Amino acid sequence: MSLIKLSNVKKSFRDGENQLNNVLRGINMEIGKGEFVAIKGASGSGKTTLLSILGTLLQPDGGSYLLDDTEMTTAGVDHSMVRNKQLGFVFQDHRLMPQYTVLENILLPALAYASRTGKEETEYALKLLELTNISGVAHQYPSTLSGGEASRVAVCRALIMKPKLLLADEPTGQLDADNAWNIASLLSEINQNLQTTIVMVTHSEETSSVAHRILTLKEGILR
Amino acid sequence: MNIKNLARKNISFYIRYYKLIAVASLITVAVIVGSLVVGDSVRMTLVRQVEERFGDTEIVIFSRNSFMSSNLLKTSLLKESARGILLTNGFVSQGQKLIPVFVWGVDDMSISKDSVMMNSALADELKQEGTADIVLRLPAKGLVPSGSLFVTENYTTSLRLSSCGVVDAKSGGNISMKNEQIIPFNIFVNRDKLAEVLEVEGKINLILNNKPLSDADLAKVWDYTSSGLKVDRKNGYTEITSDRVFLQEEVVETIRLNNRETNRMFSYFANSIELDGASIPYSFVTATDRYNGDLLKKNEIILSDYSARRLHARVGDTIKVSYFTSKELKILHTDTIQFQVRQIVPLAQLRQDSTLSAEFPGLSDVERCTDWDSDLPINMDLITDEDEDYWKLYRSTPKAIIAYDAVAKEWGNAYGNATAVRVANAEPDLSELTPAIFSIQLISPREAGLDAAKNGVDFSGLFLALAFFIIVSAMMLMLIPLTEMLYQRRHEIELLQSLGYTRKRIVKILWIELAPVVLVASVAGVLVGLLYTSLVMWMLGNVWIGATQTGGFIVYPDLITILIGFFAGITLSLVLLRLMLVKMMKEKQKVSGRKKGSIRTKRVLLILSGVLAIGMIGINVFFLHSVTLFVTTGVVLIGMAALWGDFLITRNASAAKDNFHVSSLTWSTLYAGKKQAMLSFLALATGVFIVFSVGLNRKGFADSSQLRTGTGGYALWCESSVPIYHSMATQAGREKLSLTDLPPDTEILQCLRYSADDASCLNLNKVKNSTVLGIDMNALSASDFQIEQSLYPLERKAFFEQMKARNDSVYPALVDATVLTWGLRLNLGDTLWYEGDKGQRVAIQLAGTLSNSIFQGNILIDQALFREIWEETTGSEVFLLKVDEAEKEEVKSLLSQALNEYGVRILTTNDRLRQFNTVTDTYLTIFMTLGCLGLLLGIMGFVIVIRKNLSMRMREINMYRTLGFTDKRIEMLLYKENLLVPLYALATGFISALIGVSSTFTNAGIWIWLLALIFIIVFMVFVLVFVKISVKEEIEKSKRLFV
Ligand SMILES: Nc1ncnc2c1ncn2[C@@H]1O[C@H](COP(=O)(O)OP(=O)(O)OP(=O)(O)O)[C@@H](O)[C@H]1O
Ligand SMILES: [Mg+2]
Repeated sequence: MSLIKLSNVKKSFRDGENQLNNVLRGINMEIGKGEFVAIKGASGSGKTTLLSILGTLLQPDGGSYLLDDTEMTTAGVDHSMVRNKQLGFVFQDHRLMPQYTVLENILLPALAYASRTGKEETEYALKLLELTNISGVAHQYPSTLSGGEASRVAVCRALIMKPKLLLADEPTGQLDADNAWNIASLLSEINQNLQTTIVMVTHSEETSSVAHRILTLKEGILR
Repeated sequence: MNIKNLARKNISFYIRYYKLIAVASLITVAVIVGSLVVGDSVRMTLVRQVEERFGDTEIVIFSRNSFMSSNLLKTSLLKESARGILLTNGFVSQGQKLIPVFVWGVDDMSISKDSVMMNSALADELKQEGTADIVLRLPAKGLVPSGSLFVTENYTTSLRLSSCGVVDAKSGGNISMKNEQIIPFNIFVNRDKLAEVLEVEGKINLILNNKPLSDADLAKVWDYTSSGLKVDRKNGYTEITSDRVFLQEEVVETIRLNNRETNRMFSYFANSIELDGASIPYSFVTATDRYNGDLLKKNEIILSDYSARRLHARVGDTIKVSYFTSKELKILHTDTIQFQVRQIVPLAQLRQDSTLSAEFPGLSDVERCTDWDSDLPINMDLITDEDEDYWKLYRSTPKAIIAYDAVAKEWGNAYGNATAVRVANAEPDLSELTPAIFSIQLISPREAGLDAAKNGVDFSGLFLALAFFIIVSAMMLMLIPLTEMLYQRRHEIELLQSLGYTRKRIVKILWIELAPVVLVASVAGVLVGLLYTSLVMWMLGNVWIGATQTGGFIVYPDLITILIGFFAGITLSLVLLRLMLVKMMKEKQKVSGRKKGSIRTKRVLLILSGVLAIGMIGINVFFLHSVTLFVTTGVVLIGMAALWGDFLITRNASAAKDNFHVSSLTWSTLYAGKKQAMLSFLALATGVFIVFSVGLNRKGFADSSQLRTGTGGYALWCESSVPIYHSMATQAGREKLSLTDLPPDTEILQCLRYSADDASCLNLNKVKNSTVLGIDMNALSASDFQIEQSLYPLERKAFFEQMKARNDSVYPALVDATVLTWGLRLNLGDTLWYEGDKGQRVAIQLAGTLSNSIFQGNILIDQALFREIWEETTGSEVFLLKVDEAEKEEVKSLLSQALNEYGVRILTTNDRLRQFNTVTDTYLTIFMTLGCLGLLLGIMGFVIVIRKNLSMRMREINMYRTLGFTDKRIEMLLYKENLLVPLYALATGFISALIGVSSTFTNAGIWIWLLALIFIIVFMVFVLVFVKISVKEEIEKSKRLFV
């Protein structure tokens, strides 16, 4: 059973001189449920672009994208709902909101459709914090966190809605080797314990080693 | 590379922020300089008017009640330097309109006897109908005071003259004895011609001297003949008389004190001399202390043999003499007194003493009795041929001599109690007669005028006080971009710190960028300030003429003032920026987050300020009613609201424990940007507060029932150019004035007036001597006028009783509350000094205040007390009428017809009140205009904050989006977040204003409320639409940057 099925996905941008830059030239990819896939590639090769398409943040120019057997490229799909309920994002620069506490940042996705969070969500958030080994920072503000802690919080936030698919764009990019390894193994644990499918973009050999499968993006094609 | 280069680059890189900081400091300096220069300019305009008013006159010799001989001008001290003027009130009628004018009889402007010149103000007023010939109406003066009984029936006279030009301000066209900025209507005529018409040939009543003159100098040039005393040496005695017939009591007493064997004489017109049915009608009678050297006893009469024959009288018979007397407004009483015949003397003997009778114009100088021209009700039917024959042969030779003491009190009037004094000395000692006794005053107009001008309405203070809100807004506007910029540059600052720069050094670098920007902007601010002044001065002379009543304002840029304004402004900007800079740099060090402890302090502060505000409101509503306190209350309320807002944000933003609400998102965001939220809240709230509190204070639309305490229930306010000497309350008086058609029960309050400066809000000068009205306190007590404050804690009736009593030598007076505070700038209980008719100094104490009334501009004292001070003021120039609303128009036209020759101008009291309210309202309009300016700046600050806020949060918007928030929800979040502050500010400003003006807001009519509602709606719609559009735009923009 595959969770993601991309067939002939294309994406191009116009650059500054209005030249067409064909970033993705026909991506075909299938990722099964519970799989942990790492994507590698040179800088500018289109990794983030691909991840954005997977995250429905970007619409492909052509091709089809089935997420859990639902076509994402057709009109009428509520992408916001999809992102909120089925997807989780982790970014390189974690993107935590400075005005909210760690706990609030983690709970934020829960407010996209509801007007308040319930007890279970808070409990789950605390559980996630425990899981990621940072229970102590729940009521701190992002500005007071270390880089590694911030990344873990970002992972927690991505998981709060129990997504089917976790998309991580260089989640370890800014961390030292030890921390990078910790995050990578954390993701691996999550993949095993929660059965969350993970697609992770990374440059590092070491981090990619925790993945089941490593794909490389080059000249707009996945290998 | 040096720091300066860095600074230059930084300025141009962060020019967006610096532009705003520059604008704000420019506004600050401009507003301060502008306000100060406005004050200077108004003051200088008034000062310049003083020069226009008096030219090079150093001293004025003014005879208020009587005339001076023009011979005074020939004395060596005055010869070269003095102008003699005959000044009188008058009026020019043009169609329906009566224009009161000052008529200046001059001899030095080469005006021919049948022409007239006028000042440009009057020319402008008249030009509308292009009159070449001018009919000038004048009081018929004559030397005999019009208020005495024996005067002709004509009170006015007129003069047709052709207009021959305009006297401009430079040539003294705006000459005036009053310290008022309103340009008077002046007419200049040939002095001799005027004297002729007024029958006061050779007389003047005003001398303008362009050299200083001391009291001693005046005593030197003046002698009793200058004030119309005549000294005739006769056989064995010397007779002293006055050309105005009556000798003032003061004069008589002075003569008696210094001379031996004085004989007072009072020539009078008796209605009848009777004995047992036989009667002689209408005869001259003389009262005297002694006759032929013998003292007369109080009950003795001496008859001529003629009279004795007609009455069949013999020595010892009882003779009844009756005559008219009057104590006020020519209300006549007939008194009769009985005498015993002491002696019968030959008529020839009386005839020989040709000055036994005084010369009454209209009585003494006619050919036949029936020609007598007098306003006494003489019954011509009683006059027989015998009387006419007597008149033909003996004229006014008295028919009887009676004892002076018997009648002096009765016959004495305001102008004197004798018609002649005879002294035994050949050289009578008159050295103790002084000019002051003849109510001649020496006035230094320049000194008084300059004092009044310089201490007049303080426009600097007024505009600065109003500018306060603008400055506050400008400060907000300055801090917003600064905090913004420091936030933007936080990484740079961190970097510098990591490179080893001390905090001090970083502040210095930033300072080197800031200071020159502020400096340049402040210099520009001076120029803008001067432009602002020019605009304000133009507005004062045109749009806001309601407050100033005059045009011709000059801009007076005084260098010192400008420098003061410049330095005050720039210092304010620099200090504020510096403080903020240092504070923000310190904060960088701290860990951000919500502090737990502060919430408790906030709660305490909040409660304290709440208690303070409620206390102040209570005190204001129940006790003080003070304007200052009202403004302070408003400020405290806004402060309290700010604290409350702070408290709310802090509390609601406190970290979520069990559940996390969408509204927490809003609160947390507000908390993160609390400083800016606070700044734009303060700017907006103060702006709204000032606009509303001023707006709700406007009286313009107030309905008439609320005017009642201001009008006291009187419907009409009338002023005449010629005093009315008759009572309007008596049938006889009404007949004289052709007012018999007045509804009989019309209540009329006739007031006496001592004309001095107008102390109403119409006068921008500081008023030292306000015009005084002598008024019937009983009538006032019974009216609806409201006593606001008084020195005596008494109930109304007792209070008015107190007002009728002199307190030793201090006279109690009532004054309009606004006049007290703004016109006189005094306090309850303060004393004003006046000069009475005898030259005495009189203390008038302000013992009570009336709430805003038609008596603005005057102080009120009891009529009887008034007569004690200014006894010679016997005619009334101001009167009020109580008439039914339905009859108002009819009465108005009746009055204006009947009293046309007196130059009566009639105004409904509501209109008069409205006139004053217009002034107040114009000031409030100025307030509002500046308030709106402040609000505009507030809104500008708010707009900038929102814009910045949103553009900075582009990434955040996208983050929400990745988390699966729909655009709608994001929009809702941002919308809420940005609306909260302005709406809270609107509510705060509005409620603070409501509470602040609570004591007066009942004044505001439905119109005002409607306007307020419209304002609120417009403001809300603006905010809603603006925020909506901004949010939408930002979300669209963020889409382009998505990912
Ligand atoms: N919105 C856009 N508009 C124009 N060009 C874009 C846009 N987004 C991406 N590109 C271009 O597409 C190419 C691929 O970008 P992408 O961010 O996917 O690369 P990447 O593989 O993630 O690189 P890196 O490893 O450096 O993060 C780049 O050349 C980039 O300039
Ligand atoms: Mg990338």
